[in-house]
Amino acid sequence: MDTTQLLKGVLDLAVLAVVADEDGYGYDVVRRLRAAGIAEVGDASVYGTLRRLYAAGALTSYVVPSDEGPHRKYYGINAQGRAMLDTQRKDWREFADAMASLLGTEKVA
Amino acid sequence: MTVTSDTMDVADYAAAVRRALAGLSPELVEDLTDGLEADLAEALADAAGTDPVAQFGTPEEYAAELRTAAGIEPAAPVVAGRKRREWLRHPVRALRRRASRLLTSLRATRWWPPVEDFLVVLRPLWWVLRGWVIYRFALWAFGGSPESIMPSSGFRFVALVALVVVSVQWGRGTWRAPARLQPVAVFVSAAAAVLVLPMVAGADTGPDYIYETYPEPYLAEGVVVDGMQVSNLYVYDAEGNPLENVQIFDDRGRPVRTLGEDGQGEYFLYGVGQPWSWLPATDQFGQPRWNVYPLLGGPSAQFAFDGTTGRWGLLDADPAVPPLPFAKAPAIVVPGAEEQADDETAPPSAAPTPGASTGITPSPSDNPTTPPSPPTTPPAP
Repeated sequence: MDTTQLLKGVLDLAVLAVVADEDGYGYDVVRRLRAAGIAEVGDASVYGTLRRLYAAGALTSYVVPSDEGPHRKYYGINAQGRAMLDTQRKDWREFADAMASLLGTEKVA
Repeated sequence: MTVTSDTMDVADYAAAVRRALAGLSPELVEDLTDGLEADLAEALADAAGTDPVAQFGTPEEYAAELRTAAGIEPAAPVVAGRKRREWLRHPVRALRRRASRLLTSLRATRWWPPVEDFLVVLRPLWWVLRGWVIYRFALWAFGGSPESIMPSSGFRFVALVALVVVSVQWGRGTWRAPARLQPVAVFVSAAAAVLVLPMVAGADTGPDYIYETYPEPYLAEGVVVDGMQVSNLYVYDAEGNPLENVQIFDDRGRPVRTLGEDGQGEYFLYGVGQPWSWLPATDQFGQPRWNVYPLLGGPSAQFAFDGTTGRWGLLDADPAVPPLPFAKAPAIVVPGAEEQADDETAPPSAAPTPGASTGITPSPSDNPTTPPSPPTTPPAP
């Protein structure tokens, strides 16, 4: 199955979870998603998602000057983002449980 | 993109991504691509790659992905003031954005999609028309002699075919203009779209000489038989005898006149050596009547203008009946006339004719008439 399609629906949740764990800049978030096993995510999709979550008020943003090279724009989660994360996490678990039981039943039968 | 992947470094790539986002406001582009170079460089280093295109896809794809993920509509709403500046600075871009927004809203309607399907089918017609418009424009620009819709020489025909082929191939996407010439091609296409209506309307539909050879038909006054103007009419009764002083009117009561207002002029009669001229009859009020036939007259040589009466007339002769076409015309069979002739004493209503019911005009099927026999009398000399 093409996991990029699956990812589209849950990229917000994944990005929120990564940023909630620890603040991060664009590529840093990509790297941590990949490390978590979400390999097929496009860099630009992650940057765009970060920007959209920020515009929606779920993230904070600050610039960290860098000694060598350009500055970094860091994103962190705020209260609204945590609320969003909790809601989406709950939705996802319910959905995942439903899918698991559905697929599991089929396997037994 | 003309830049090859070999020469494209991270900075070029980031710049190309910003260009691809150009439809958005500068603030939004900055917001979306802030730190892009650093991210790209780091991602490349992680992948141990050197080619951004191999790693991330084309800048256009990258920009599209960025924009989609950021949830930004392709046509981002811009502030009115900036919009106006945009129209001044990038009229083509602004127009294109405006058109794409219009198309989006049209596609949301119920009636537009079938219309669009229809128009898409007609696109090849436009490609051909575009080639033709460019050809006509070139002909005009190079001062070529005007011609009808089709080219007037073999060379021109070849030129027209070549332009149509280029236009169609471009429309199909088979041949592409080089990136540098793309704006020129778009401009030419737009200009052709503007010119197509006046050009089609102004194009002659046939060779010019048609207009010279066939002037507007002149609707002559008078009586025309088989396309020939008639000068005089000759009336015969049922037995075929010539009548004189017969007034003729049409169904609206208008006098049937063969001649113009003043009746002057010389007319050649069939079989008569010299031309004749005509005079009107006079009615009880002294008015000239030109619908009394046959018109009387005389050889034109005997006509003159009378200074004392102010009239055109015969000098010293009475108006004469012109030579008749036949001394006698074939007699015709009048339905019911024979029976009446046989029984003249009885009134027709009291003694109905056999084969016909009372009070109803016999129809031809009841009383068949004999077909008119050919003229038995030769025309008068």
